[in-house]
Amino acid sequence: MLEKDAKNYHAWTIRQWALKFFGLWDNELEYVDKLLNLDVRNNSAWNQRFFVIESTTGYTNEVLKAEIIYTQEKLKRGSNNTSAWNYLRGLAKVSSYNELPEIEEFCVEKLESTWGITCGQLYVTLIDIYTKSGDHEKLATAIEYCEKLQSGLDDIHKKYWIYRKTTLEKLIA
Amino acid sequence: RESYIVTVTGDRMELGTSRLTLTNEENNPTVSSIEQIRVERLVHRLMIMSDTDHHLTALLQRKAHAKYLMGGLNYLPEYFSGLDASKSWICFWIIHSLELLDEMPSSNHINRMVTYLSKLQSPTGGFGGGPQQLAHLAPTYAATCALMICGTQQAYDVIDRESMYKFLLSRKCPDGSFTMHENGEVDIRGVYCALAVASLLNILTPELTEGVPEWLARCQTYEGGFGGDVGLEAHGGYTYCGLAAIVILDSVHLIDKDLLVYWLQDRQMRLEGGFQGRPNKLVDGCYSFWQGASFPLVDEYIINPEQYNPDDDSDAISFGENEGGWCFNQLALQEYLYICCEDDHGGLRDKPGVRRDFYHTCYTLSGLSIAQHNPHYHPESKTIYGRAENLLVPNDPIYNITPRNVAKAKAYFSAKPKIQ
Repeated sequence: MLEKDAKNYHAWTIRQWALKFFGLWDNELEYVDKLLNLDVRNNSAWNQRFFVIESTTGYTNEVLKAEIIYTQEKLKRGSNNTSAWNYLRGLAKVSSYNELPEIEEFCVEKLESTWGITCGQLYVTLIDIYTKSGDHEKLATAIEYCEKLQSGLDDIHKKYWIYRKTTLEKLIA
Repeated sequence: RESYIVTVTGDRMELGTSRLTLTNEENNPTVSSIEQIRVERLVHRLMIMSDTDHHLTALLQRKAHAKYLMGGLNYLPEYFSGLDASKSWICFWIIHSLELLDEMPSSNHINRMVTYLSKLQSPTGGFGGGPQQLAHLAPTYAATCALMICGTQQAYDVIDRESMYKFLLSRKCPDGSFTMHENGEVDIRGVYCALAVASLLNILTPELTEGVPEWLARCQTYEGGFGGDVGLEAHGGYTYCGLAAIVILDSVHLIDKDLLVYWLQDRQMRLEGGFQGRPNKLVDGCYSFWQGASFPLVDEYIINPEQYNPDDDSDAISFGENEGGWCFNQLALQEYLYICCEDDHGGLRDKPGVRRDFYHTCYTLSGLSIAQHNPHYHPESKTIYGRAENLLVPNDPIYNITPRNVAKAKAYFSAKPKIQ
C-alpha cells in the first residue's frame, strides 16, 4: 500500500502495529531511509524514523549525534523542508540544545549562506534555540528574527510571530 | 496585474511578494513538491483571475448551498446505499451546514430526521452507521450531534442515556484509550467522540475519564500535533480530536502547549491560505475546521487565558486592525474558501479540481464560521471576507454545533439524573 501512496495514514497505522506485534524492527530504519531517498519530503517517513528509534535503541547520545548528521545531510538536498526541520528540533526536544551544541553551530553557519535569505525554517530553529537559552542577548536576537519572519519570510504566519515576539519581550522586560 | 501585486493594508490583504511565488523545489523535485506546485499553480491562477476588490464583494452562495443540502436530505434513504455505514454522518453534515447557514429545514423534515436517526440506535447502546449495524463511536457522535441540532424534545428523548453510558464505558481500555467499536481499532477519534457525547448528555463520570488525559498526552508527537494512536504521525484531524478531548477533561497542562501552537499555525499554507493536514501534504478545505477550530481552544487555554478570567484586567495580544483575534490569518483562509472551494451549483469542495460533497460542505462552512467570529474580548467582533451578509451563525469549537444548540442540550440533560 505504501508503494502506491507513501503517506497513507491507514497503511502506516497497520505497519506500526505489525512492527510492535511481531517485533520485526531489524530492517525498518533501512526502509525509512529508502523512502527518504525517494522523497526527502515524506513527513510520514520522518515520523516513522522517530518511532523506530524510540522503540529500539532509544535516543542515546551516540544516536542523537548520528541523527543530527543524517538530518543535516538531508537538509542539504533542500533547505525548504519542514519535515526535516521538525525532526531536527524534535531531536533537541528529546535531549536539549545545550547537550547538542552542533545544532546551533550548524544554524549559525548556514545564516551566512543563501539559506539566510531564503530559509524561514532556519530562523524558526534559531528562535527555538534562543528562546530556550534564557540568554538576554540571544532573546533579543530571537525577537529580531520574529520580525524578519513576520514581515516577509513567513508572512502568512505573521500573527503567530507577533505572538512569539510579544512573549519574548515579556521575558526580557 | 499591478493592483493585485501592490496592495495596501486594509484593502485586499497585504499579500507581499512571497505569496505570489510558487514553492522553490531547490533542484530536487520529489512527489511531494511536484504535487504541491501543481496545486499552487491552480490556486494561483484562480486568485489572480478574481476581482481586485473581491475581499469586499465576495458573496457566499447561501441559496445554492441550501438547495444542495436540502436535496441530500430529501433523498437520504435511497441515495447513499453505498455509504451504508455513514448515514448518521450524512445527517450531521447536512443539518449542521444548514444550521450554520441559518437555513434550518421545516419541522416536518426535522421530525423525519429524528425518526430516521432513532432507527440507527443499537439496543445495547450507542448508534451504528446504518439500521441494524453494530454501534460505533463515530456514528454515535454524528447521530447525537444531529439530534442536538434538531433540538426538539422528541430528538433529545431518542437517546437512551443509560445504555449509551454502558456502550461508551464498554469502549474504554485500561490504558485510557477507546476502541471505535467492539473488537475495533483504538483511535484518538474514539476518545473525542465518547467524551463529546458524554459531556453533552451529562454522563461524563470519573469512571469514564480515568487515565484518559494521560493517554491523550502520549499521542502528541515530537512535531507538536497529535497522531491517531501513540507513535503515529501528527495530523490535523487527530490533533483536533486530541485537543478538544483534553479541553473537555481540563488537562491542557499535560501537553507541550507551545509546540502544539507552533505546529498548528504552521499548517496554514503560504500561497493557498487554507490548511493542510500534515507537513508536505496538500491543502484541503476540510482542514478549515480540523485545524481552524483548534485556534479558539488554544486561545483560551494557551495564548490568552487571562481574557477568559473575568477578574483579570490584562490586555490581549494585538495583531493589528482588521486581522481578527485568532492566531492564524482569518482573511486568507476565507479567501481560499470563496475562490477555490465554492461550487457554482452549491456545496463546497476540498480543492480546485475535486468534486463537492456533503463532508467538505460541512467542514468548510464550519471553519468559515470559526474564521469569521472573533474572541469575545476582541475589539472587532467579526472579521468577514466579502459581503457582510456572508456571516454565518457562530460555531462551538468543541462540539461543532452552534452554541445555542449546545446550551439548549446541556440545559436539558443537566436536569437528568446522574448515571451510577
